Amino acid sequence: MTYNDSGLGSEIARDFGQIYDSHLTCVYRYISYRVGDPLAAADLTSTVFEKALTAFRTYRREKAAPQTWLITIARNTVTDYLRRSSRRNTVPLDSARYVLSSDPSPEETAEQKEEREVLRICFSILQQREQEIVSLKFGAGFNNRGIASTLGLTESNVGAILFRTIRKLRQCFQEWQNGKGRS
Amino acid sequence: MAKAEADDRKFMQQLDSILAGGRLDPSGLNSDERADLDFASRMLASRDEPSPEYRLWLRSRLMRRVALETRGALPSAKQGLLDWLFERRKPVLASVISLAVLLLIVVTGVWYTGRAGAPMAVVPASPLPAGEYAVNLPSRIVPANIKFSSEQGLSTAPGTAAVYELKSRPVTPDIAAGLADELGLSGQPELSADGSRIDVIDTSGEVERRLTVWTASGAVEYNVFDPELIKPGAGAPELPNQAEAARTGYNVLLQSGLLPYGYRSFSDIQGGIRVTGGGGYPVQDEKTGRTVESPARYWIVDFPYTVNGLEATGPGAKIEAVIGAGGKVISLFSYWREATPRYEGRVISPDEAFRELAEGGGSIDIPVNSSAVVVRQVNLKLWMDPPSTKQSLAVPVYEFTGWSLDKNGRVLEGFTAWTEALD
Repeated sequence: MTYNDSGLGSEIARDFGQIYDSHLTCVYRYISYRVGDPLAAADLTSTVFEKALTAFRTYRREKAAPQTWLITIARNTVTDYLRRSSRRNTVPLDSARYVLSSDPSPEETAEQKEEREVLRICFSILQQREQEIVSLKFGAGFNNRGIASTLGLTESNVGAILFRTIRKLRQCFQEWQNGKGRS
Repeated sequence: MAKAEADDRKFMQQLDSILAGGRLDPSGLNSDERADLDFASRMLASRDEPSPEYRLWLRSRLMRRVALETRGALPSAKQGLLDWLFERRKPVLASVISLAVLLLIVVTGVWYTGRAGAPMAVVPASPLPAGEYAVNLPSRIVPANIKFSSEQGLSTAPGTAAVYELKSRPVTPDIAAGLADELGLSGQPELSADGSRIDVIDTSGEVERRLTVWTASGAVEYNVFDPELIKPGAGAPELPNQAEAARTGYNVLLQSGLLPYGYRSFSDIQGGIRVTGGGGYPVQDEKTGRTVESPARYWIVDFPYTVNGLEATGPGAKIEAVIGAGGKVISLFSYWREATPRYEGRVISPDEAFRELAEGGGSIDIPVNSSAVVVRQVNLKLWMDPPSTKQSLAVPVYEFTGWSLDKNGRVLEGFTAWTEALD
């Protein structure tokens, strides 16, 4: 789709608004997995959509589906953020309880909150490529073929890594649960 | 090998089914695989979601940008930043940019020359001399021979606090028109004679509505001038409850893009919101004959205004909505400015600040029949000048609150006073 100058604003508002409504959640979830911090995720999500809006006049739907296009922008934005802030989504397991106490959210029970934080900490222990694959699968909702083409891997390779990674995460989570049971 | 691949495929099919909202089919899976898929379901359930407030805020921000770009108030991607800057209607901005580019070239040249000889001196981020900033505190109005005391012991330990560089929001007639659109006002933006503000006045309805954007600070005010609100004797209006008023104020400020960037979730700031009644006037109680205050005619909803955890104070520290009968918005005030830390300065102790206040320094205004002042609280805050003032630096001040007393020790009224905090 291309845009003429006449009536430009309302067309863009309508079309970009539709893309925003359909894909905000997957972009936010993807970023949230990658950076592990809801506030940073919110900031970066708004940056992604601002960038997307800037590039929207030259965007061609036939070249990339909106979701693929947005996630490409999101990946670059997250990479820049991690490089710039020298931050990785890594939190030592020991700091779990400290992190847990710093995130008040009245709707969640303490146990749910704790579980969410432990998942985040287990996630942070993964290798970068494993984090990326899980974020694309669980956050962006990509299928294995989409992940493979995004990361330049084969589909079976993605499946195998995903399988191993879920198991690794489960074991990490179980270790925490067992430790909690002992304490 | 073939079996392992088949197992992987089956696992992936199950995982995709769960991701698509389906249920787990445990047949043909071993216990480990079942546990893995159960765990995957758990991961799905704990995914973060953007809150409805955030969703609304970002959408409104993006759509506002589309509207502004279409009007030409912001550079569009197609037009390009340089084209936008160097249009004929922005000669001053173009000159400033040209000068900045020229300076950059000169500075780079000097730096490069310096590399060949002696190393360039690095300018330390030293504190600013006192002359580089001003704290425009209100006047000190205090009768003679006032006795100052504090209800609590004050710390004698000095500390440090950041001085912030303020960046005002941009103000153009197009931006004011965009805001007026958001608030449903008709009328053209007009620059005031002294250039201090842009007004959009809508007289098309039963009551006048006015939007003001202050050019010095980018602060925004919106007011509905309804004579009924100040007419004594009118019946008590049917106000929403305080929680509803707070939520209404938040939503309107959020949708109009008038809240700071971090205020995306109502629940995050809910604890800092203060709601007070306003518009009451003195009436005589028929039963007792005493003079009492009539019921509130509107709710004043004050939103917290903090910079890196330090509360803002002063006439420019205001993010507020006034909500009347039926949840109608009567006023909005959005005075916040973007702040970035400039340097960490030394601040005097609360005890030293109190002594300064007692010995004739700082700002305090109490009734002429006061005999004593009792300080109840002392807090370090960040001073914000009025929205009509260009302020480039925000510095920490001590804020004192307490009571003024008459000669018999009776409370006359509360007060708020300030002293400078930087050493």
